[in-house]
Amino acid sequence: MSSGKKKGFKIEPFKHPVKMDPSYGEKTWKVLEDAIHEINNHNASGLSFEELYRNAYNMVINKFGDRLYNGLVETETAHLRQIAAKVEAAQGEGFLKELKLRWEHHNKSMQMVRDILMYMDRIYVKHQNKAPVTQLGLDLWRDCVVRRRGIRDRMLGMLLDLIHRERTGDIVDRALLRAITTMLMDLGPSVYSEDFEQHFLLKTAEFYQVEAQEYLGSSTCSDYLRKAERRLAEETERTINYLDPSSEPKVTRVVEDELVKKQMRALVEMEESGLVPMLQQDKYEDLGRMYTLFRRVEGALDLMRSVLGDHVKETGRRLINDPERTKDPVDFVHKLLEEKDKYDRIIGAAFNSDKSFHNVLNTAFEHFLNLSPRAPEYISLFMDDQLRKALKGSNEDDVDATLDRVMMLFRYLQEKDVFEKYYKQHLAKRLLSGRAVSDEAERSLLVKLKTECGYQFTSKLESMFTDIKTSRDTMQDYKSIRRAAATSAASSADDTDIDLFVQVLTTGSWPTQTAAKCNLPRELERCCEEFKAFYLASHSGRKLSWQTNMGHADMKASFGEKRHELNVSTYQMVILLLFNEADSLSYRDILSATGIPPADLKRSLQSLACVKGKNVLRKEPMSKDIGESDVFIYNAGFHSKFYKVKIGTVSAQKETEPEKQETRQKVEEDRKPQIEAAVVRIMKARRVLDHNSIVAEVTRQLSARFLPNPTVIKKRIESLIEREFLERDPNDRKLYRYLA
Amino acid sequence: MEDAGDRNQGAAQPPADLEDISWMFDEDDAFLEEALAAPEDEDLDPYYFVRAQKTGNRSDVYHAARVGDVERIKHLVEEEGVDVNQRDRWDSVPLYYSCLAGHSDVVEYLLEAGAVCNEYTFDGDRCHYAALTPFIRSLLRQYEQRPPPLAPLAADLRTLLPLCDDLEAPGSTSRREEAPWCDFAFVVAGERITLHQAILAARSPFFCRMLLSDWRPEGSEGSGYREVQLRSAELLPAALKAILVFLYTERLDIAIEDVDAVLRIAKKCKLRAVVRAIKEEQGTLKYYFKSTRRDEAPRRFVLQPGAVSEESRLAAQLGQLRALSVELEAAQYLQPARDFADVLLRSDDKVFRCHRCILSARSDYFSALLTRSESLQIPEEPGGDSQLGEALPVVPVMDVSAAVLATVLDYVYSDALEILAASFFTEQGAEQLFDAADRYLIFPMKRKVAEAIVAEWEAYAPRLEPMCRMLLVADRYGVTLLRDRCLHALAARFEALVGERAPRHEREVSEKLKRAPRREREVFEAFVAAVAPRDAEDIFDGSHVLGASRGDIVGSGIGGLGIGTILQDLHEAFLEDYGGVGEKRDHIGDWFDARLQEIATCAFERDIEG
Repeated sequence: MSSGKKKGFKIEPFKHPVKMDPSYGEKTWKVLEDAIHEINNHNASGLSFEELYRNAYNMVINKFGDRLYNGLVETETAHLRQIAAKVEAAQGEGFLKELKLRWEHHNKSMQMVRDILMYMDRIYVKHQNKAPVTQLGLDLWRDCVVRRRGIRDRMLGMLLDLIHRERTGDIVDRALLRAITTMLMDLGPSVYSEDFEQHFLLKTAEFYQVEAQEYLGSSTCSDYLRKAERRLAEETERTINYLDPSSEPKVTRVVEDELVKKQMRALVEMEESGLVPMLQQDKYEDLGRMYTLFRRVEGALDLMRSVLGDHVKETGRRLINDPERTKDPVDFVHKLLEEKDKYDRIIGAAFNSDKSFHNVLNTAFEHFLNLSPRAPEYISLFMDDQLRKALKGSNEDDVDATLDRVMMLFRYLQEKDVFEKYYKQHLAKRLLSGRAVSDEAERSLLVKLKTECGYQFTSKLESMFTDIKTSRDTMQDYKSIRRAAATSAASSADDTDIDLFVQVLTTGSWPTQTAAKCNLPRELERCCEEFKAFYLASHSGRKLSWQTNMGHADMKASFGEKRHELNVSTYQMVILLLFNEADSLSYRDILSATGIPPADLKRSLQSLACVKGKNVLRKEPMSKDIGESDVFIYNAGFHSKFYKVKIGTVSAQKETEPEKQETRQKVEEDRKPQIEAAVVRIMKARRVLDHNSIVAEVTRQLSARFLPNPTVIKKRIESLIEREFLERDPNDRKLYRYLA
Repeated sequence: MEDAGDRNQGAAQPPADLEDISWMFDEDDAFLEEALAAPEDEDLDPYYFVRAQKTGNRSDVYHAARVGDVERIKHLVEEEGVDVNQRDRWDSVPLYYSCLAGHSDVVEYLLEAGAVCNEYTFDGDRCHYAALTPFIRSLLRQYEQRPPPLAPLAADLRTLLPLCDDLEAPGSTSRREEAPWCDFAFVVAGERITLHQAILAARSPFFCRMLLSDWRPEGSEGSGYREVQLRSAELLPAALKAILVFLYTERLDIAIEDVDAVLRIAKKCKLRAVVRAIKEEQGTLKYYFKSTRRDEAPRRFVLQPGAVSEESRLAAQLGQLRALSVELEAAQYLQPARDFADVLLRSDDKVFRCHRCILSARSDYFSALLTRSESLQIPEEPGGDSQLGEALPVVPVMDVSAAVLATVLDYVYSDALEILAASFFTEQGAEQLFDAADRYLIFPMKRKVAEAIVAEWEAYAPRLEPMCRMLLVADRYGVTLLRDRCLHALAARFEALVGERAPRHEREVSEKLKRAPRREREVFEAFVAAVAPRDAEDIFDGSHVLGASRGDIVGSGIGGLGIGTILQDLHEAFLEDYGGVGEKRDHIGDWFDARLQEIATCAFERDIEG
């Protein structure tokens, strides 16, 4: 300790510890041991901190650190064994309480011991790489008490039992549970997880497995979901309250697995309350709950999505194949829109506008919409209907909104060129018959189509509009010139004043129909010639051909005293004018006189004679159909309430079968050059390409308009090879080369 | 280069081929080769374009930083305690020079040692600006992230204030609610800040006055401590907290918007030196940023501890507090008084007035002692004069003498030992101090004592015997400074003691060797006998592990210095001072070992005889 100085210049280093009093170590240790005993027995009041610290310090300084440390270990171990025995002896409920109490005491006394042995902690422990006092205390507690055979299992069993009781609805002492779990956590995360958490998670899994079965058996899907939600919340609260926060994700995962993941199929497919019925009944809350719950489990949302997709496809298919619906296309499209709205609402309200669900919905719609070959036609008809009738009632914004929704359906169509054809036809009818109520609505719809499909799609349609406008201008010019001519000439040679209004249509833009022949009466012929002259004077190099099947006329007719104004088609006008000469005519006469094609003639005659209330002519025999030998007689007894009578043609809005075939064929014909153009375009860029790639590219490029058939593409390629646009590669049969 | 010179001196004709510039480069220019061979990317190579040199033993830290002499800087900082943040006559810090010259190793070392590099301070910003390579700049940024280490006193006091944790890591859940040993609290904006009267009073005259008058505790202690509500509308809670943190830790780091509020509070608290320092720093910032960085305004205001004058710093003010207590001790005053002492330590019938908070912050032992004394129920001294109010609780201290305790308290309060009583310059006295330092777990005190002793020795060179004894003490307690000094002193005397010159080159030795007196030689023999192992063949065998050869030494300076036995280190010291290099060194080393072995053998024989 201190260097003593002996005589004779001898310098003693500090005394080697062994040379000192060997029993010094033992004596000092004894003092400390007694003190530790007192502390452990909560009898510390008589001790002097300074003295004890001094003893410990001296021991370490004099190289008795080993003795001190080992002694500490022994004393504590012995003490803890006693404590463990006492804890084990506790009965029933008091077991955990006893454990908790002893633990608290142990902590307090260990703190005191650590303070006394602070020097040893700082110097000896660090150099010898041993466990510091606090850690030592925890380890000893863990080994002697917690992991003791009698205590460990009992403790675990009681903890799990308490938790189980709480789950089934009892109230338990949470503070006690908290204290015990904190003790386990303090002893070390491995202790906590091995001695408690693992078993806890297993038990939880078992419990919820049983619960799940029970719930499934007894409640509906929505009830089950509600219960599951509640249980999850409960478990989270439980972990916050008396478990380690690190357990929370594990527990949640276990509960989710048991309650949701394993049962998700059963839940979704549950009769009468599964996903499908929920969708049908618009149960937003339940759907939302299902969504939030399923979102936590992987793979569950996929299941939901696939079920939703299937269900939508099913309903769609049924809708399409339902013969009743398809009778009225407008209604059909309405129903489609309703369906779409319904699902959009569901996704928005319950599924949090999840994009993936929207995607699934879109795919499903696309799928079943394209199952019906008549879908493009129906959509076009619907739009037609909207633009004609609906505008009268509602204001523009509503119609705009409806048209927007229809555009969404339009996007699902794969055969957009079919739609184009029909739309052109319907637009032509609208424009020509003057039925397009609102120019603006038409134009806005056109803009929408342009944004969807590009300029090409709508260029022809736009030119149709321009034609109408130009015609109006032309007619104004014509009229002014005629008036000028009329006033200048003394008296016009015309005794009939026929007011002619001509629409000049560009041949390419308008749906082509064969120019039907028709023998016009002389007066009309003359007017037509005049107009033709006028027109060709201003626009040279053009050819005009009259489309008599598309026109209509206003005629003044007198039936006895009554006079009516009849609004009829051109054909009908021609027919009726015949009756100026004769009162009754046979079918054959009319046919030969007018030269109108038989089908149209029959239709026109039908509308003139067979329609009740509008029969300007009488037919013998009185039957609906027109036979070859029918005779038509001027009906003097015709009367009607109105002055102006409109006699429309019995025209089918829907196409009859042959017409349908015709249109479809036309569409197919139109597709061929498009495919060829696409192939040539691709080959020009790529020079050499193999068959599959070409097919893929072509499909991709044309997908905006229609879905080409691979066999058709192959045929087109063959034809291009014949025409020497492409050639087959001599080495590889599959490759094609571009020929410049 | 001679080529170029010749050409210039000759006819003033341009070289034949204008494109050929090879005449500019001397083929033997090794530096050029090296530079060409260096990696292209200067960002990657930390040593690009810079060669470090060595300086001698006399250069100061600035010169060493400029040329890149890492060892010299290490020596200066660790051994001679040079402050890495001091400024030279051009107001630059060593870090600045090293950044400018591009010595990355020096930069790294200085940053580790606590050099300021915060971009928002004048110094730090200059260093950033001056950095030669992006590598150095990235180093600066790396170290900027963490606040520079606090001085030991400040660091200890920081533990007293949970507020510091709050400000540095706001929103953390594990936070102590109350300061340990607090006896006072401010309540501001609904928040309670627990504090210590003694520290507040020591640091601010205003607080001292208020605590003694208006803010006195009413009546007897009762449940706790005095709480004072601060309701002034102008008082910004953040600014008040910043000032309080500054009072405890000497660190002021606030957002630039709060500077005015802080200045107001500082004025109110009559912290004159602080006010002055803040104003100076503000001025510097304004000038500096206006002139160089127009676009970037500083965002934080940082005040360095050194910016405040010496006598207003933490150590000095706590020292004054201690002085006040000493006065009261001299007057035998045992009741609560204006030094806010709250515990009495008694040793050898002498009573010391102390503050629990400061004691427990500085030493874990005192912390435990004061806590346990309460719970172990040390009875109060039944001698207090009850008429004058309750005497302070007394804690007896039996391990150390009163003189030692006084010295310990001096160190605890002011982190330095200015005046060491004469008795402590002997080895017994020194040993008592070292023992107290170890026992009370205030290990840095050992170094301060060593510094004081070494300073004393510069004035009065010690004789051989006390020095040997001191060497043993230093070795036992692991005080490397003292140990090294003693070893070097012994090495210097070795040739005289042995009576023979080391075999150096003839022309190096000029004077004749003066042999040491007989007594000294005997002392040296006894010393070697005491220190050398008896039963080992080689006296340099270190396996018997005496004293300091324990490995890591606590409190002996920066880093753990590898230490051998005394004799091994004596060997090393001798060679360092007189050894030279290469073969000569080995030769001298062998000579030394041989001499020492002779002495040891003589000494052992004498022991056996005597």
